Amino acid sequence: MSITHDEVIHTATLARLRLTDAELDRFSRELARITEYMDQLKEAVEQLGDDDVPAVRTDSRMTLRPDHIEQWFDSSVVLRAAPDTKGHLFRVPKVIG
Amino acid sequence: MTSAIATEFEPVIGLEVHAQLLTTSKIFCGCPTAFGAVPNDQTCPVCLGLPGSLPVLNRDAIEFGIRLILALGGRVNSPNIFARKNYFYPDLPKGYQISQYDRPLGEDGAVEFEFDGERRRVRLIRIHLEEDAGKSFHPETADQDPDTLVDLNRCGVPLLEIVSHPDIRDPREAAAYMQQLRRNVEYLGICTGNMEEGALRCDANVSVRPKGSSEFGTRTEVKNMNSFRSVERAIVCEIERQIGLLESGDEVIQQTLLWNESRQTVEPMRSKEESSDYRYFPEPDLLPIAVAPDWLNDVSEQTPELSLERAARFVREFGVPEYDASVLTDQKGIADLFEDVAREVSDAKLVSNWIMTEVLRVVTDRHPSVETLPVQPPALIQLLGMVRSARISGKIAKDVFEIMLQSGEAPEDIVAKKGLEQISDDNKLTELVDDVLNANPKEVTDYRGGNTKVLGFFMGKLMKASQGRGNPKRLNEILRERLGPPGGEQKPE
Repeated sequence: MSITHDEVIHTATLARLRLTDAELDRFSRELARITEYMDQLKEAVEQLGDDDVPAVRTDSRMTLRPDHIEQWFDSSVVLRAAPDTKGHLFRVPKVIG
Repeated sequence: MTSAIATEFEPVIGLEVHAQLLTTSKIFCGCPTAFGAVPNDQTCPVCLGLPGSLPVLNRDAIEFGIRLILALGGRVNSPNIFARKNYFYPDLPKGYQISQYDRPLGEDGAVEFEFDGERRRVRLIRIHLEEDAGKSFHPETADQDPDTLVDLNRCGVPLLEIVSHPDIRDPREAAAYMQQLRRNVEYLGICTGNMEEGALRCDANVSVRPKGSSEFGTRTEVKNMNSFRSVERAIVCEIERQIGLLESGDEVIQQTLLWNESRQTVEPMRSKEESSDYRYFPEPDLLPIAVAPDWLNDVSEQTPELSLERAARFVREFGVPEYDASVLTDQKGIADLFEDVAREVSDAKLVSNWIMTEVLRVVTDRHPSVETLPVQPPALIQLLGMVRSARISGKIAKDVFEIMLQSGEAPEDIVAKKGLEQISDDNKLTELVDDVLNANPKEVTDYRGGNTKVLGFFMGKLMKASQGRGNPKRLNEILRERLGPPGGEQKPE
C-alpha cells in the first residue's frame, strides 16, 4: 500500500510538523512499509482465523485502582526535567493566534 | 429573537456536557484532583505522559459514571472500551486523550425536567468517561510573556461526557436542562455542578430550520459557556446569527464558535484543532471494562432520590406548595436542611418560608453553599421551635438568626442573654397598650371617629415600646379591646 505525499502532509499538519521535501519522500516510503507490515499481519490473522488471535485477552480482568491519593513528587522535580519553565509553569512556544 | 423571525424558523439544539467527577484522585493515576493547587504540583509520570508509564483505572470514576447512567434510565455497556483521541496541543502532553468511542460506558436514557410548567424529557445518546486536559495560558496583551504557559494539574481529572439528542427547541430550555443535570449530579454526589469553576461545562450544537421542516439545518458547535445564563445567551446569539445568514441568502457553514462573555457574541474559534481528524483507536494500555451484574445491582440499589422525586415527596409528606418544593430541592444541601428541620418543628410552611427567605438569602449572598453555612439543623430547629411556641416573635427570630451566623451561638443562649423572649403576659401587654393610648390622645380620638388606619400607628408604637418583644397577636387583640369599636362611645379606662 502506497502513502501519498498529501497523506503525509495531512498527518504532519495534525502533528504540527513542518517537513522538507526530502523528509516527505522519506516518510512516504517509511509509512508505506509500516502499513505493508500491517497488511501482512492481517493476512496472518485471516489464515489463523479471527477467534484464535484476539487483539486483547477478553478473559482477563483488568485491575481497577481504589480512589486513593498517591503523590509522586513535588513539581520542582517535574519542572527541572522540562526544557523551559516560568515559575511553576511549563513554557512552550505559542501555538495559536 | 424578534417574534417575526421566531415564527419562521425553529432552532434545534443538542448539548454536550462535561461533568468533572468528584473522585479524590485522578482517573488513571493517584495524583490528587483538588482545585487551586500550586501549578504542576499534582502531576506524575502517568498524567505527564512520560514514556514507560501506564494508566491504571480508578474504580470510583467508573462507579460514578454508572450512577448517573442508571439514574437517567440508561444502559451500561459491558464491556465498554477506552480509546485514544489523537490531537496536538501543549496541554495534552501524551498527544492523545484517553476517551471512549465505539463502546461508551453508557447509552440511551433521558434527562427529565420542569420547563414552563411542563415536564420535558431530553433523550441522551451516550455517556462516556474521559480524562481532562491541562490548562494553557496564552498572552492576552503585547506586554505579557509571548509564549504559552502550561499547568498540567488538571490532566487526568476524570470527566463524564453527557451527549443529548437534538431534542431541545428553545435556548431557555437548554439552560433548564443544564440546571436539572446540575441537580442530578449534585444529588448523586458525583460532581459539584459548579459551572463557574468549570466542574460542569457545556458545548451546544445549534442549527435552525424552517418551521414545519423535518430535516436538520447545518449545525455549528458553540463552546466556552461558563454559566447557566451564558448557555442561554450564547445559543440565542448563535440562532440569531444563523437566521440572519439564511435570511440574507447566505449559508451556515459547519464550524466551531466560541462564546465571548465580555462582548456577548459568538466568534469563530482560532485554529486550535480545526481538524476533527482524531484518528480514534482502542487504547492498548487498558483492557475492555467488564461491569459485573453484581456491581450494577449494588449501584442501582444505592441510587438516591433525585430532585424531582424529592420535590413531589415534599408536597405529599409536608404539604408545602409545589413552588416551595421546587425551590427547596434546587440544592441538595437546602433540601436536606429543610427535611431535617421540618421533621422536628412540625410546621413545614414556617420552616419553608424561613429557608426560602432568610437561609437562602444568606446562602446566596455570603456563603456559596449550604455546607459552609455556620448554622446547622439543630440550631435552626431550636430557633424555629421558639417561633412556633411564640416564645420569640418572627421579627426577633431574624435578629437572632443574624447573631447565630456571626457568633455561632445557640439561639436559646442568645435569647436568654439578650432578654429577647416575647412578652405574652397580658398584664404587661395591657400596661404597654394603656401607656401608648394615653400618650397619643389625638389618634385615639381619630380611631373612635372611625379612622381605623391608626391601628397600624399604635402597633408601631407598641412594638417600639416593647423593643419588638411584645406578642403582636395579643397586643393587637388588647389594643382593639381597649379602644373599643371604631366610631363607638366607649372610653379608655
